[in-house]
Amino acid sequence: MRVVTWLDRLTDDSNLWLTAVRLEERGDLAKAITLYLEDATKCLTANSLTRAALGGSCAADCLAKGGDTENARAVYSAVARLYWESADSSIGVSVRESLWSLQEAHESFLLAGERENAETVKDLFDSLANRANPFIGDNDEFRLPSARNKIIQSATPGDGYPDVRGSSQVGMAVESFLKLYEERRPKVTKSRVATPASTEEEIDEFDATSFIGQLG
Amino acid sequence: MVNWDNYPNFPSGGVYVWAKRLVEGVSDWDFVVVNELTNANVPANYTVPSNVKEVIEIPIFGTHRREEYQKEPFVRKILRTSDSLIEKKFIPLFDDFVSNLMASKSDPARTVKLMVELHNFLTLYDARKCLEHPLAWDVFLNHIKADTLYKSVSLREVLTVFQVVQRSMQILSVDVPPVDVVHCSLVWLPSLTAIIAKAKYGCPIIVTEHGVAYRELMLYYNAYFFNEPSKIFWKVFARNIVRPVYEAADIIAPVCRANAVWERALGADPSKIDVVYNGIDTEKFRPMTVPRDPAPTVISVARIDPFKDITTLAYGIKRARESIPNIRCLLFGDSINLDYAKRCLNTVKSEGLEPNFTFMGATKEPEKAYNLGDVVVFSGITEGFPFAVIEAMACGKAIVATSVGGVPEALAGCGILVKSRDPDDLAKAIVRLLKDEKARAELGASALKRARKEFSIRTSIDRYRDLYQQLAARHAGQPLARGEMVIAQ
Repeated sequence: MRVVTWLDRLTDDSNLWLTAVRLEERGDLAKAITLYLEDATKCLTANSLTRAALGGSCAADCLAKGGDTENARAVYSAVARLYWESADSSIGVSVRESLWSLQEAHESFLLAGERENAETVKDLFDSLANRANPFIGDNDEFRLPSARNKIIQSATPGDGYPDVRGSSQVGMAVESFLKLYEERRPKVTKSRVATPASTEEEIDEFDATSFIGQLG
Repeated sequence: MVNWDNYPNFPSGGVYVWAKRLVEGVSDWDFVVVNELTNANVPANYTVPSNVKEVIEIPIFGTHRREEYQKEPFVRKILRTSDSLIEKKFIPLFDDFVSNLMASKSDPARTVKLMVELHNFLTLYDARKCLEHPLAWDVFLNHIKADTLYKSVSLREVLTVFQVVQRSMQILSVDVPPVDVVHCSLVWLPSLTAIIAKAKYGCPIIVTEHGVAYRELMLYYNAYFFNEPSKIFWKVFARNIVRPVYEAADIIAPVCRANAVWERALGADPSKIDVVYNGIDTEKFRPMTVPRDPAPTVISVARIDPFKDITTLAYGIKRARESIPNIRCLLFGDSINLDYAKRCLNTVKSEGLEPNFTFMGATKEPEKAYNLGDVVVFSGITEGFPFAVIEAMACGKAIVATSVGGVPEALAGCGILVKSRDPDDLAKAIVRLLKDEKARAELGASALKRARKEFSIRTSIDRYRDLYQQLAARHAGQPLARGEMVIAQ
């Protein structure tokens, strides 16, 4: 039996994400988007949120490069929420991973044009990072990534990228990914607000027998 | 003077030595010593000099209620403290206080204000009834539940944290007498009494940090908590306690510049920081001839404590034995940590080090102990400005020490610094010095010169007296001939 080496894995077509990377490098954006989203869908089905978000994020980058801003924003928005969910689920296990996910969520929200959500995530990031590292002063600012922010605004078809707008293949892949994302999305958002303290019924002001017991 | 598990009840360790020498040295000042006790069952047969006018012991654990221990009347306080009063007055304050202590960015000034409000309430009403009220637990639990960071923390852990907070907050019910200056020997929960004294009577505060309580707490949390959110809780809690103390302090007088780095990083105002090095009796600690074994001898004077990392010392001696088979290491020091002491004994036994490594127990004559060796070694993983190092320097000994805390400042080239937790590095330095008599003599001579010039007890005491005078003058508007101090540990 032939042993499959890491080199084989990198060069054969079995890994959707790696194949998509190769296609993107070759300039075949439409195919790359389809494979990125196919990979993301598979990961989402397997509840592997970070990997799904990564695939989605790469697809959204390609959509932006190919001029399909509307779909790019929709995918970035889904990706941001996946990263946010991932940050929530990993917080008890690894604060570092949670911080990274929040960073990615922040950037994805910015790319999706959802500034309010981006700010909310940034506040969560600030709060968590500040607690994880007590030596961060009040005036220190966290450097959240914003380099990719320009991609979606500046990239237009003709900048050396093929136009993917109107590609039915791409449209179907985006629709399929977003549909699955919406299906698994919790219908009721979990409240992050504290529930009020449960108060016991007021006990009589002074109970002579119970106070004796407190004298030890 | 404000202390924690220290002078005058616990006669061991550098902070005890510092406090004792300070109280005895500044004999023209009267002292009231506040000692917060983790356990009420502590030695009580201590003697204090005549200028210690009062010792206020505050047991936090190990007693049903602290007032019984201090013979404070409390029945009327209990009678006054109704459930409805707790719910309406105490719980909102407690809620605000807990929220501030758990906040990622809490305002130290706000924390101070809440502490004073809580103090005002708890001096009138019963602290125990308030803090043990079920609503206090509800409030605390709700803060934990509201934070996604703590969602995987177990109820048992939350309960432990709550109990520590609950017990520690008793300190806010203590009233300290009005004094001229409050001197805290650490920046941690006991220092809250200083904040109260300042708020009530305008007493200026000076804080001296030996090991930087915050740094040592972090070492403790990292060693004993495996759950990351729990570690973060304590980091945040500790930071939100120490920052108000720095905020309230008029002078921050760490024992070394290394501590000042931590203090600045924790938000202390650099303009308040004034380093005062520890001092020793250079008449007592001096080179002397004592009867000794001629074998190459390494001396260590250290408590058998994880912070002193005795196991690394043992492994270092094992490595050094490969080059010097007849090497001897004499460790002088007692232990209050039985588990760690057993671990050290087992290490020596299992590594076959019994002929080379001897546990000598505590010594009342450390000056003779240092002079028994060719080289003096310190293997601690965290230090302030250790007395043992400057004492060994004053004995003219060649020193090998871990580069932690204020040790590099103390040695300043008059000894060899090694990495902490690195037996190989330690062994190399020990072997190098044991094999080079000239190097030992040179390092010993320069250490002796430096210790006599820089670290005399008189210099240290005079610096503190000056600071007291400055603060008391600022407080009273004029210099005082005779002051009164509160030492709270």
